[in-house]
Amino acid sequence: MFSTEDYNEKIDAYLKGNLSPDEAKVFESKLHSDPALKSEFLFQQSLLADIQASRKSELKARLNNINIPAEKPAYWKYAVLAGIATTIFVAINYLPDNILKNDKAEIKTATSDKLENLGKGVAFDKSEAEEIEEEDKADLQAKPTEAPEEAKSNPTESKKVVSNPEKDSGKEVLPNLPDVHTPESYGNDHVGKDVETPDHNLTKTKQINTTVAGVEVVKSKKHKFHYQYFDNKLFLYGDFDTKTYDILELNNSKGQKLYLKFESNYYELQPDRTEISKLEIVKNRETLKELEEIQKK
Amino acid sequence: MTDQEILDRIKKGDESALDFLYKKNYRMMVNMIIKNNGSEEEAKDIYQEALLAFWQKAASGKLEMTSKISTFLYSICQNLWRKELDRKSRLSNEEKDGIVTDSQDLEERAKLLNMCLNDLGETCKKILFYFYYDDLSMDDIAYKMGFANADTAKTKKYKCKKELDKLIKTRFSTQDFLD
Repeated sequence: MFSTEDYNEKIDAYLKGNLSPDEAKVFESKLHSDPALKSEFLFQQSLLADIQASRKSELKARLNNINIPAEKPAYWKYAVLAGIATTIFVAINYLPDNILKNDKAEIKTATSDKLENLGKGVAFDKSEAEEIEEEDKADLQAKPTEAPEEAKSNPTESKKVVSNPEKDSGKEVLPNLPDVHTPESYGNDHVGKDVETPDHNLTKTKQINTTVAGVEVVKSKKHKFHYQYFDNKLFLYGDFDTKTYDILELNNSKGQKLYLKFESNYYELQPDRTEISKLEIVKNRETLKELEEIQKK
Repeated sequence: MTDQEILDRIKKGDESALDFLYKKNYRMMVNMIIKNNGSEEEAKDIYQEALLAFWQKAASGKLEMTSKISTFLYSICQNLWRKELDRKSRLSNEEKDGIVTDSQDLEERAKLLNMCLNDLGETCKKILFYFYYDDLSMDDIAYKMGFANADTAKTKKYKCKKELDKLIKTRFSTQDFLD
């Protein structure tokens, strides 16, 4: 016999799909023989569904607030999309209808098997693939523009793109497709939320656009001079409450990046640091020069 | 951001990774649906459904990716859209009465729940969302909420849930809620 607490734990686990098949069977038979459990179960079932629906509409509202830039033509990208489209087209035929309920195993077979076949028909040309990737990086403004179908008119190019610069085998073609980079994928990982005015601590801050939604200073015994990005925010660990610091944004050929100026030194803020990382001083002369330049403006 | 970085972030419940993915793949997914007789609105809705389904799976840590995220999303979108087209063609041949009352009932329940969640406060609401929808681990919930450890998160979640049950049960009869 369960206590109420155990009931709830079990019901949670069952509804979240965390019971083993055996445990689930035991639970189900209890459900049939115990009317109190059954009624609590039905209550919880609809409550959890409501909680999930509520969270879902919250997240949808979040997504609806994201501003999607208008389309821009970028013809060479059709080729990339054609590659993806063809592959998916093949893969899709092997995916059972209800993909959401499928386990990864099925998806695995569907994709990797078919990709392997597809890969065989693909011409490999390392330099060309790299070239296209380069082009991709250079064209920061470009967006995927058209549905892949249109791109089929350009079969030669699509082959180049699908080729795999790192491996010799034709397997896993897709994972090596060049990314279609949005500006945000360079220099910072955060989708352009409008700037909330950063902390009052930021004295001479140059515009921080599309980068972080805020800066938070954290006091920590363990981390005295560290930083990390999380949930669109930059967290600075250390003595930043009492002394002034600047966050500088540098846009150059390598993309957009943030730097911290603290006690007349510059520190790099790598956009991909989601773990707490040590602040590292900038040594590259050119970068330093550029940073000095922004300060003068 | 590489796919791996995105996945790592999602596993920790970092919602900026969701924003990033949404923006990055928006055009490709939405255009695919529009090309297949969908309106922009429908396309957006399907894409959001697909992305959130992906988010849930990935945040719970139950997903092992063997293809690119965009490939995966694309196939979810295609499947969802195919189903939606099916549903639409069936609907046009049938009476629609049953569904209307159904959604009214859902709306009532949603209102009721949101009232209770607001009374519980933002912290409880978030914990319950992260636990029941995003399916984050207690460790990740603790991290995201700034709690000392997973045990604190677990205790809080337990208390919040108990309080929610109580609120709903006392304010509204169980029978109302059930049907």
